[in-house]
Formats: sequence, C-alpha cells, structure tokens
Amino acid sequence: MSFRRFVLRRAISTVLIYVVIATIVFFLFRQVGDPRALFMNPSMTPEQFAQIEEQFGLNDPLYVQYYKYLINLFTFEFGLSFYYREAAGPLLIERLQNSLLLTVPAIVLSYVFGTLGGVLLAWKRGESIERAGLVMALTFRSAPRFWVGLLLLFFLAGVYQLFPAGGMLDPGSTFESHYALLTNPDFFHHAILPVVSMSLYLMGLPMMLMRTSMLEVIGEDFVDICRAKGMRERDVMYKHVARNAILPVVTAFAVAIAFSFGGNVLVETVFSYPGVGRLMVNSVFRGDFPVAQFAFLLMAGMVLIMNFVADILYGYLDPRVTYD
Amino acid sequence: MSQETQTTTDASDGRSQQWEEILQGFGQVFQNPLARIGGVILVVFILMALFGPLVAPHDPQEHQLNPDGSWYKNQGPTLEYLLGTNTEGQAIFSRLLYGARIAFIAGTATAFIVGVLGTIAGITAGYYGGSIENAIMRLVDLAYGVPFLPFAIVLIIVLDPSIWNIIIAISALLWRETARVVRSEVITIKDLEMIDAARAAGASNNRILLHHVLPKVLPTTVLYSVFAIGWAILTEAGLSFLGLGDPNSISWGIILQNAYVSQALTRGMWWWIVPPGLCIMGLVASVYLISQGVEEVVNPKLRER
Repeated sequence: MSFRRFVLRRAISTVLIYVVIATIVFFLFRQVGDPRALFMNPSMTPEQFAQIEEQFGLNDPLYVQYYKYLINLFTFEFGLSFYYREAAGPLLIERLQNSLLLTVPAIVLSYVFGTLGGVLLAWKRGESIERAGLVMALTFRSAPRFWVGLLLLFFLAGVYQLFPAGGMLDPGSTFESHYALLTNPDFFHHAILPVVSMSLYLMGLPMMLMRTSMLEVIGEDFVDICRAKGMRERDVMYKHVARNAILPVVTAFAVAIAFSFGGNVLVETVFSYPGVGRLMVNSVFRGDFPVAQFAFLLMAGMVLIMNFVADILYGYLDPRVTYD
Repeated sequence: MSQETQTTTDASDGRSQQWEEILQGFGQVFQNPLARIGGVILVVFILMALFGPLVAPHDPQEHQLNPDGSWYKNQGPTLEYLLGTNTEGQAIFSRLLYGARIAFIAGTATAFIVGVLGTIAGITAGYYGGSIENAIMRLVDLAYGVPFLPFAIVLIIVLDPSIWNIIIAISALLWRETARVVRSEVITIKDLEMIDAARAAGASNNRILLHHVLPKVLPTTVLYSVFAIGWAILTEAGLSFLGLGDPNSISWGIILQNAYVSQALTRGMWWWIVPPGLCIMGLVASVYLISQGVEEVVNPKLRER
C-alpha cells in the first residue's frame, strides 16, 4: 500500500472513530435525564428556548436529534451555556487555547529534558548515576500531578509568597488576545507553577522510553564500529545511538499533547486556571450539560488528531514500516 | 498405542517445564535491586492496608473533642494525634491508615480486569487474524481515541460515584494497552515451529492458546497489569480529588480533596496535605520499581551485561 493510501485510510478511520465516540457521548449524556434538561434551563428567554429547540431538534424523534447533533458537532454549533449565558462554542475554543498555553510548554520542556536524561541513563548503565536518575524519574511519575501542584502552592505561593495562588492573570485584569498574553509578564508569573507540576510528571515517560530504546540499540554492531573509529563516547551516544533510538519518543510526543489534556484537568483545578479541562469538570458539577458535553468532544477530537499525526509521523520517519 | 501415550507425557512435561520457566522468571524480577526496594516498600503498604484499621488509634470519622466538649480541630501533630486533626476534628493519621484499603482495591481490581480483558482481546486478535482481528483492533483504536480522565469523569457522573464504578471507568479504557502489546507478541509466536508441531500433533486451537501461547505472553500481561496498578491508584486519587470519590469511604484522594476545599493551603496545615500525597507516591513508586524488574524479564536486552 502506498503512503498516500495509508494516510487516506487512517484519516477515514479517524473520522469514523470520532463519530462513534460522539454517538457514545450522545447516549451517555441522555442517561442523565430528560434531553430537554441537557440543552435548556428555566432561566432562558422564550426566544432562546425556541432557538435551541429548533437547533437541536428537541421536539423531533431521537434519530433526528442524533442527526442534528452530529451536524452541530461538525459545524461547532454547541448551543448555549446555562451558566455563562453565552454561546458555548467560542467559550470552549477560548478555554482550549488557554489550556494549550500551559500544555505545550510543559510538554516541550519535559520531552527535551526527558530525552536528554534518557540518553544519559542508558550511557551510564549500571552506574550509580543511572540508579539515581531512574529512581527520580519513577518518583516523579508516581507523584500525583495535582498533589505536586498543591505542594508548590503551599510552599512557594503560601509560605514564601513568591508566586500568585492561582488563576491566569491578576484579579481584574483582562487580555486582548492569546498573543498579547505571551508578552505579558504577569501571565508567565501565573503559569510557572502549573507548568512545573505538569513537566515533572511528564518528564518520566520520555526518559524511560529513551532509556529503553537506547539500550536496545546500544548492542548493535554499528555502535562498536563508531567506537573502533576512535569516536568519543559522548558523541557515540548523543549523535549515533540517540538518533537511532529516538523514534518511540517522537511518537509519544505527538500523543502526549492530546493525552495530557486529561491529566491536566487536575492541575488546572488546583491552580484555578481557566482551561478546558477545568471548565468541563465545573460544568459537570453545575449541570451545564452543553458545555460539559462539547468540552469532552473537543478533547476527544484533539486526542484523535494527534494519534493520527503520530501514526503518519511514525510511517514517515521509519522507512522500515510497511503500510498494511 | 504406546507411542501415543509417549507423546502425551512429552507434551505435559514440556508444559510443566514452561510453567517452571515462568516461575523462575518471577524469581528473576527480584534480582533487580530497584525491584527489591520496591518489594520492601510494597510490603509496608500491604501491612498498612491489612492491619491499619486495626491499629488506628482513633475512629477516622469521629470528631475528637476538647475537655470542654468543643471539637479538637485544626491541631498540628502531637504524640496522641501523630498527624494532627482536620477542620472537622478528625484524626488525620487514622484516616490515612484507613485510606490504604481503597488504594489497594482500586489497584488490584483494575490490574486484574485489565490483564484478563486485554490478554483475551490481544490473543484472540493476534491468533485468529482476519475480520476478528480487525474488529478487535478497531475497538482498541476507539479506546485510544477517548481522553482518559474526562471519560472517567463522564462515566462516573452517569453511574454515580462508588469505588466499583471508578474501577469500571478506569478499566473501560486501560485494557487497550495490554491488548495491543499482547496481540503483536502473539503474531510472532504464531509463526514459531512449536505451534506448527502442536497443530500437527492434533492439538485444538483452545489447547494451543492455553498451553503454548498464553504462557509465552504471560510476562507481558503481568508487566502491563503492574503498570495498570499504578495508573489506577493515581486515577482513583485524581477522581476523588475532583469530588467524584465514593462519599461513604475514606481514600487518600478524598483526604486531599477535603484539605483543598477546607483551605488547608492558606491555613498552613501541612500535616493535612503532605502525608496523603506521600502515601500515594510511595505506593505507586513501589509498584513502578517492581515493574523495572519485570521489564528486564520481558525484554532481556535491557539486562545489564
């Protein structure tokens, strides 16, 4: 099968899986109660009632509701938030961007340092530095992210007052665009602690993956040849072995962006950060079902897109992969 | 006739030898020094889960009282209250001892479900191939497309918070990893000569799967089940922290949620925040340390030369 056909097939199956997930969510949320309660609440105006009824087909039979739900999903028409009294779509997109501003730096940091650390661990196999590094990586992976966040808040924000106690900006301040945020020192001041508590956890996986993958490559013949040429051990490790071992880390990286949305729900909650994960949790508790539902579907969409990218990347980077 | 008897004894000998190798493999796990350390820490937590509630000095739900009858609350550690009391006047040390059980229930039950489901799915897909494999692997793809914690949150809202629903919610997605890895192993095992030999000797599919394929993938199943223990404990803690824990039980995540909601952070009550997290971290780390040893058994390339 050619690369192009492989990409096309993966794309189609990704869309199909998304429809299946959306279907599961459609029926899961209808277990909560009356579908009317999912989209309307008594404080809405009659005009809003009518509009929502029309848009989601709440007076129609179930299959029509399901059909309209799918159409709305793919056109980003998410209905009205009960709590915020505004359209759910733009709200969710904004929160998603907020989340990305935390997630992407955290993942980049943890993968850069994790990969370099993993090379070191494999290189120093059997030495005490490897043991120490291993124990450190495992410990960080074992510490709940939200608890690390709590500790950072307790000591650095509470006891030493070095950082603000949460949020995205100082209370009362607003921002024009997400681009403006990136030049705002106040934002960085708020973002450091959550980014650190995510990174410490996320660093463990690339470190262990890189170490394992390196150990598998290190026994191959070409490594001996590099050494026989008189190359420095550091160059052998970082230039030759690492390049041949990095593939699993690259694919894990693509997937990590999507996967960390899930776990970051907790960090966003601890730091009262207005991200999409915390919005989903709060909406669930508030009974704000349009927002909860579509926040979940937005995160599922991210996961699927990144899975797709990882698959393509893997096939592209490793010529040994056959597409069948 | 005599020849046939001969063949069966040979087969059963080979089988017991295979199981013996597996037992040896588990012995090898603890040749890894990190795995030994993990084992020791794990034993401490097992003792805590078994006997903690018996030796707990106070009732974990009872409000401790001052001599004048008011609640003995927000107090730091003393000899009588090793980890102080919370805003309700409950003894935190005793609550911590009770919390170990939930962590073990979540960890072991999830690991069992994930191991069984994932292995059955993986073996079936890898061995039979064709449309069965296709169907199972699309299910795996589906499970990989669902964001883990958000899905668990939605499922628990629908099913109501309880420890068993938490276990169901975690297992519902976690089997995907075991299934994928087991399948790819079975695909290589299937081509081994011993499988052809077994088939030529008249062994049925079930017999081949049970006696030849399963023993070979068992170490991998164990490795991913060990990972699942860690995941389950962390996820249970996270869900409880969000307020989705079993309201009638005490878990480390619930203790942390109480602390967060009751402003333990601004009140400076470190004795309420630090110990539950240390317990979660210690237990999960012990399991991951053991997984280091298991990984070396599964993948001999990792062993030190």
